[in-house]
Amino acid sequence: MIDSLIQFAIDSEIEVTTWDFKPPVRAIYIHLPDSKPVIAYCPKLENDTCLFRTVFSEELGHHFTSVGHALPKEYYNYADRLVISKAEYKAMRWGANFLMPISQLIYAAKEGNKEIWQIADYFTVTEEFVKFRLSLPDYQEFKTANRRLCSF
Amino acid sequence: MFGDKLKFLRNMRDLKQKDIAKLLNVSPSTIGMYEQNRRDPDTETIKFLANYFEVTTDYLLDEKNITIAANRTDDPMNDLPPEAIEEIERFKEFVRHKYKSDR
Repeated sequence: MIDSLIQFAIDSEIEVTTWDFKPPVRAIYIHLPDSKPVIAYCPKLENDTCLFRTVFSEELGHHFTSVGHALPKEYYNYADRLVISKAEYKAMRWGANFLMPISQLIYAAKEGNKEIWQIADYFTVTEEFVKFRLSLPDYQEFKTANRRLCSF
Repeated sequence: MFGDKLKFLRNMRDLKQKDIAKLLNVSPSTIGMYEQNRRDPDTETIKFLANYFEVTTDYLLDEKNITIAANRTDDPMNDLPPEAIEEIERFKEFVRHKYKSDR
């Protein structure tokens, strides 16, 4: 399940590598002028497949949603924070939709998965990521129309 | 900004401000001004420094095309600790050398 995500990145012409970042950083998406886009993650992330898939899909999300955004001062400059939080949200949304498309979410519900942890198990992601996914408008609309089916 | 990059590259090579000043034939205080982003160097100086540090002038000047997104265990609105920033800077250097684009 880790390999398939990495393969998706490679197929999307993103380089993938590991790097021992210092806490609290555990992964990075980086696209510099004159360089290929790269996703790098702390190797110990591989010990937790749910967390790996969650983190990695968000980094993939940055590739598809943040390119062209100027975030160079992410670590230094307060004025950029709003742009960054928007970019983070877009990347998370992309990752959540990628790993938990609405059609599969509905299928998971029909299969009898009623708890957040069951959905997290079903998609091999973190429970926090499931909660985020369930907060997105497409699921909320579905839930409104199908109250009996959706216990989560 | 340019000054932060100059300071980072200089420190990476364990050089003093006076070493760079000597190379550029200017006073050490001029380098100090550059690093504090209180003065901008001219085009020739930028080209020279890019060549000297083996980076692109884009890297020194044009930040518009850079995308960096860090996944963190804490609140992304917090400031990162200096050691985490330094590690990211080291990683950026690695990316520049290992994943240079052919395009």
